[in-house]
Amino acid sequence: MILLLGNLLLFLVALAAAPRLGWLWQALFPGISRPVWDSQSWFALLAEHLMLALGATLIAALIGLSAAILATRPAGRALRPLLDSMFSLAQAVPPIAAIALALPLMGFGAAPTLLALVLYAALPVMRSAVAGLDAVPAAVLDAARGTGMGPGRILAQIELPLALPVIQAGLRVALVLAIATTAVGAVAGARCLGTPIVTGLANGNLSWVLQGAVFTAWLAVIADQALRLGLDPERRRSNGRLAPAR
Amino acid sequence: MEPQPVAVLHATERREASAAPREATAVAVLTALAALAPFLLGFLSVAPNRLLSPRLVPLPVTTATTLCLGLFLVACLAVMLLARRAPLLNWAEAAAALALCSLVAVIGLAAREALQGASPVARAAPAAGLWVAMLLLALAAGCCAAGRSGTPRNFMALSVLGLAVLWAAGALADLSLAREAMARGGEIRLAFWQHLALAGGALFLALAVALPLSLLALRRSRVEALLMAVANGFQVIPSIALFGLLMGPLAALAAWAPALRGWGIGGIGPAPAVLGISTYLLLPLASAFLAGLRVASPAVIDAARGQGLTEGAILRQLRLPLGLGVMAGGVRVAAVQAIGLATLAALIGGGGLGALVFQGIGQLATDLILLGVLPVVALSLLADGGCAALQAALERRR
Repeated sequence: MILLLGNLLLFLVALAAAPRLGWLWQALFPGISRPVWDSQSWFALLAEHLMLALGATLIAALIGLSAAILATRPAGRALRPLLDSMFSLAQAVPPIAAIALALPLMGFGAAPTLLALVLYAALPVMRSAVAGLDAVPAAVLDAARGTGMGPGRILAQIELPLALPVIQAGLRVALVLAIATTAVGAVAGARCLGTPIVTGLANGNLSWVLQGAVFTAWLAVIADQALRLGLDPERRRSNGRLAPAR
Repeated sequence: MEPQPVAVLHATERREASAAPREATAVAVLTALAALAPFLLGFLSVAPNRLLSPRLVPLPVTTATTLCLGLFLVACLAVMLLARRAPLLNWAEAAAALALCSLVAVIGLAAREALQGASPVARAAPAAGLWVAMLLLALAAGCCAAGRSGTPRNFMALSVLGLAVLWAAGALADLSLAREAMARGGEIRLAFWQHLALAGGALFLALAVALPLSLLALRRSRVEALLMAVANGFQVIPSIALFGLLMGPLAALAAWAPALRGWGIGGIGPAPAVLGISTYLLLPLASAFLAGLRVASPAVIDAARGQGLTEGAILRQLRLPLGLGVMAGGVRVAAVQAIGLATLAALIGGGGLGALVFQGIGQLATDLILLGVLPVVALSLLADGGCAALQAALERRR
């Protein structure tokens, strides 16, 4: 916890200090005339990055959770093969391809990135929620039915609480994935911490690339660190990360 | 990717209801939607030139288009009917491939018809209906395969074959995608081989690092902890940031030792891309190698030691043959990831199919984006299918 807070504080200080460190960037990249990134404030980029990632995770959580609940009901059994096949198809399409395909339909900006983020973040949520709901012992459900509980109450009071740890693990994966993938969205014009990387690459300004890359990577590390805090020690080591798509 | 429990689940449920597999409903709904999609969303759109936005046109009615359209609808119906019997699911997959190819043929022929008499700069592109139908058919085929191995191998192989035949017969030549591909033939071929080289090089590099380290980690738990910590740590860093971080040091290295430039090592180019991609492959490879090497149970290993086998012989005769299937599974995940990650290499001047994608993004040219994305998707599906087949063969041999 202290480690995380320290890291976060250091990150924020570094964000505030970056535009004032002209001498450092100048020394590292002597050939570049404008080594300091000053087109946008780093905090504005951070805020947009987080809003995009959190918003996408929220939508993805709603979609993934409702799909998982549907697929684990007796009536929704037919949905299972579809979820499996969607999952394996999505593995074959890298997020940058999904963003690029959405671009002509939705135009430059945050929209194509948001769509791709929702699609990719919904999958781990769905997977883990299905696994969690499946793992609820049949005997428990029988006992609940025996006491006269209806299907709605069983879901709300028995199944979801029992599946919660697994669902939470899926949500964590989704959020880390979203924070990492948002950076790629800069290619399609989404404003985020990846923007200096893409702008720098386009202008041959390695100093901007380095600054953007450091902060993007740093944020991802902090997010991962924060989300591991809630995990129990056993999980924390083996972490239940699903095959990462990037 | 945890296929085992899912597969077990499928097997048991399949036994319960052997008549209509549980895939049937999903396949039927998806295929029905696929059959409707072109009628609802349009078959073909035509633009007076490359820059003006395309407009939907009605499907030209000729004998050829009607025949192909009929074939498409019959094939869709066949998918729905065949999927009702578990043993026929493979054939349902084949029918889905037939449906896909006949729909593409309809649109290719319609494009030729629509462009007859039009100016040579006019462009005919498939409307949203084709793309939606293709996606739905692929998902339906995936559902058919969900009970087996998860990858619709038959569907993929037959679709690729069918599309190749259509291409060779010239049925697709009038689509704007094909025209763009013809105009950029050399560029696309170069990008394709560059992409393969990037992904293959990264996979090779990662294998060369992961294999010896896994063998070492098998004996020393401290090496294992370190290897897994490093491999896990890299996974957290977004690829675009890692590529960016590698550029500076490699540029400095090349400046310090200019001879390295001759080897293609520098801040911009394939070197940081290959290095970056391979770091992400460490985790799937190392964890699968370690798991594979541990498939042979300690009791069996002890017995072998008791018989006087050397550690080398145990590795060659027990650990490797028994764990080969699991290890191939890791290579499968890594190969698919490498192909996807190589798309970003173009950002740092590494070339590959991503170069077409980014050029397309810059010009907002859908055809160009598709020319980059479609081969990437095809490559990763092929790599996944190929590795899955290899894995199955290795596990059967055991």
